[in-house]
Amino acid sequence: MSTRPFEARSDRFRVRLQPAQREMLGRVIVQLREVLEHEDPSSDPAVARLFPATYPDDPLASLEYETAVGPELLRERLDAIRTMESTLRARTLAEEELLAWLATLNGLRLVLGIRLDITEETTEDDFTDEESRTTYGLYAFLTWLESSIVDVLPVG
Amino acid sequence: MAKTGTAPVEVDRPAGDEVIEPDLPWVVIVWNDPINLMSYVTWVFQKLFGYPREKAQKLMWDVHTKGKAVVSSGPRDKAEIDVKRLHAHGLWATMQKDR
Repeated sequence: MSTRPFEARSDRFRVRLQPAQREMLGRVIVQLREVLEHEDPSSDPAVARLFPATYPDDPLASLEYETAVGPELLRERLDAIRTMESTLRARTLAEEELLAWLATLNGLRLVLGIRLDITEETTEDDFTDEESRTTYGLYAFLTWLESSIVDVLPVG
Repeated sequence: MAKTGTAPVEVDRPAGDEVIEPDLPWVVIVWNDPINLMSYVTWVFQKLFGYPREKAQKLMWDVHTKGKAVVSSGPRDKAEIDVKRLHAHGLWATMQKDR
């Protein structure tokens, strides 16, 4: 039995996930959308990580840039979440759909990584209470999914 | 992000910082972060910039070991597009004038 969740099949990609795994992903991407819609970089460090300052030495230029580009980046993320939701139960995905999964899963990993205060040295043993262990388990699951997608996606 | 639309847009910048040295190129910098996967960062550099795998891997490794790397350079508008695409892919990117 294959242990890889994603597999290239001619011009499409096979998704091997259990129904329960897909349902769980559906629940967490709803949470990602809520964070994106209701928080901003000043209210939530995870959102600040998704929309970093472009000119670190020039807050005014960063604000101008963010005002111009921020709404478009947000819309792209929300579009990707919508695409992933509508293909959550699909057995195969087109490349564009898999790219939407990748963008969404990567966004989720960044948010969870900030919430968990992940560093280069973090291991599973750093999480002792039930809640953070569960969150770290989800983070590790997303890591497994994301690296499998990167393995199968072409770069061209 | 819901608040970005209400941020002031009509801000007059002091005339100048980009006119003084119009020929100075801008550099796009990607900073190390402990969350993004090495394979993903390499893939993004290949995908966005069309770099061969070896170059993308070397840049990723520079980011990882030195804390940052210059991944592209050029006029300000091109650098802004590159930063935007890197942000869309979740990488921590900034830009500044080459010095």
